[in-house]
Amino acid sequence: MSAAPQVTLESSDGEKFKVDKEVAERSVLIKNMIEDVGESDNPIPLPNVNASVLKKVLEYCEHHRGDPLPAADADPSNDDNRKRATEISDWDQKFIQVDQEMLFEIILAANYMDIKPLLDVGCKTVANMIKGKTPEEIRKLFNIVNDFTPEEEAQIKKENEWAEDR
Amino acid sequence: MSSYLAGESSGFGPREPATINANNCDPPVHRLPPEILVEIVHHSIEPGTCLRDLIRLTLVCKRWNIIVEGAAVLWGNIDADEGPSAIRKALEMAKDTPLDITFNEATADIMREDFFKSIGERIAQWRSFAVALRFRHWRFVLEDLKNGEAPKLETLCLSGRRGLEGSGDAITLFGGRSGPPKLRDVTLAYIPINLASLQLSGLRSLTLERTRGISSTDIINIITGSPNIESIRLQRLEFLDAEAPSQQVFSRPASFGNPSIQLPSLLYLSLDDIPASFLSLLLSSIVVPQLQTFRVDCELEEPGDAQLLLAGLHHHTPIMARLVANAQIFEINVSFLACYHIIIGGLDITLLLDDLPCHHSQETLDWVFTHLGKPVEDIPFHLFLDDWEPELAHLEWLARRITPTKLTVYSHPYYGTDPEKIIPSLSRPTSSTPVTWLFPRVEIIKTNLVWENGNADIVEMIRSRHSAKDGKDGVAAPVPFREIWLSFGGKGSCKSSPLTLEFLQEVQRVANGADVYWEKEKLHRSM
Repeated sequence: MSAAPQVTLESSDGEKFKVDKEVAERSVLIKNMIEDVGESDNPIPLPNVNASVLKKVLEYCEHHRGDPLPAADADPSNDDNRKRATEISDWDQKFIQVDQEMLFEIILAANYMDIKPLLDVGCKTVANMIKGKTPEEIRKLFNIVNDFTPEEEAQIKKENEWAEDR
Repeated sequence: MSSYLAGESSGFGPREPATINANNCDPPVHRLPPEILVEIVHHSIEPGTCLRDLIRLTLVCKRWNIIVEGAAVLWGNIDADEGPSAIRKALEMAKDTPLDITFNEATADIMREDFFKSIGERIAQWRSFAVALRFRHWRFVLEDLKNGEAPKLETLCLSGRRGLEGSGDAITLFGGRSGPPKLRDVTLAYIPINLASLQLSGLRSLTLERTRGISSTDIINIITGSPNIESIRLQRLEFLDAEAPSQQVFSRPASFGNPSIQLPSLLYLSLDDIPASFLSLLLSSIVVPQLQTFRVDCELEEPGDAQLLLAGLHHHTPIMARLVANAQIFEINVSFLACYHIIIGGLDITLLLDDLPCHHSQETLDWVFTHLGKPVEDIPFHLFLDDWEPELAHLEWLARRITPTKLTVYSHPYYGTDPEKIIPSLSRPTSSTPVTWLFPRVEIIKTNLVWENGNADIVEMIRSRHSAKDGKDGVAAPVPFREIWLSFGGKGSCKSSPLTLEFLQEVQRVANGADVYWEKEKLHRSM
């Protein structure tokens, strides 16, 4: 039995990762690059993803290597498509239990590498973090500075008084 | 990025494009591009409070304010529960994005005339339209759908309540033109709609509940034209038996054993309270290899009904076997009027057999039991006898067919029939041949047949089963109970009367170490 074909990925900080082609192709970006360039021994550069993040991303791809790929024509704005995938599986929940810095880096990497299921997991995780929280609690959670002037904040609240009345 | 933000205006000061760009001093969350933040926000908003959730998020910081307010796609959920101001704001912010409309007459926080006037003007944007109606004067709600066009409509859910189905003639939608080209999910409950004119096809799901104005031909036509349908739920369509679909609707003549409609994507099929003739025709016409949930609920009034049902089920027996093979739940619930509810994993069959002669009931059940894909005696059922006092002969027949490991005997505290024969019949071997104990593998028994003075029959039943030995005549002793769950079934509240306590002590004494529970609490052995 012949070994599974492999490809080499190179992170932004120069680290090389040799992985099964099937695993790497969970990324639509890489899949397209391989299709465009053809089989090659040259490493595939990923200038927007550093080694620690790429390692995590590849861990996800390895775990989900056999999963069906999401439909290319799925309409992301369709509510039904969202509802179908509201939950995060147990493994994914554990996988994404990382610090905020890493969480956002994984989301950015998934977006750049076009790994839709990983992007969904990241987005849902952040969504769960902000659900039901007040603006002040969200600012505290993400270390966001309130850059509204008091007048601006008052103006928005006045325009949307209805949102405060229950 | 620009697609979300182009052209937006804000309520405070001029905005520089740079305000949404991140720099190194910003917190990590600001590194997310706007389209991802929009995605996150979309996941975070809850049905019923979407608009309030969005306003809350616009107050986090200027960057979030610009992104949330500028993303029209976030504002398309128009729910009457959120009130007039919220709806006005959402319609303004949603621009030309598709709208998902929800109106629940019981909870709406806006005058219904105002609501439908404001959304009616935007019918061309409707993506989903879901209304739940309570009152008789509801027809104006459908005015826009009667005459207008909703080219983007994908989901239509018109739901009323019992009593509305008979109020007036069936309504023709879209001026009698065919339904919207993108319509995929249709739910009609108690609202009479002229389904034929819609010429529905390509559906993903179809739910019809007591919907006047439809015929069996309409249903077959829709299903035939929807080969990728995933869910079919037909409920309380008793009136369908007045007619049979014409054979012209089939691409080739349907007959038993010659199914003509392939539904390779169907996962959920529920047929509840529809005439046996149509049920049989439908079942014998479809091929559903991927089915995951198969519900049938049928009242069998005549022996001919039973034959029709079984003929329809016949070619689905491989599917039934597959559903049983993967099952984790095995339940048979028998309630008064001889209503058998059999649940084995994704297989869920309810048969109301009261009107059938006894031997026809048994033949029908026998057919089901022998087509489950595995020996029925190997299935560890939970048998639930719910206010049912069967003839002893029928109980003995049932005990010869199935071997439950858990038995519940229940009587409703207020209007229950307090069955008297079941517990005593469990206390001794049967008198009919072959002689055996009833349900000898039951390890867990639950009952509320306990009154102010307890129930001596229960004590006797436990004592006799626990002391039984394998007989010389080949009668095997029943397995002892592992758990005995008792609760008070009398009227009023005498759950801890002295007599009841005395009864519980007696139960513990004869239980021989089995765990005894009273009102869901485990009793201490030294009680």
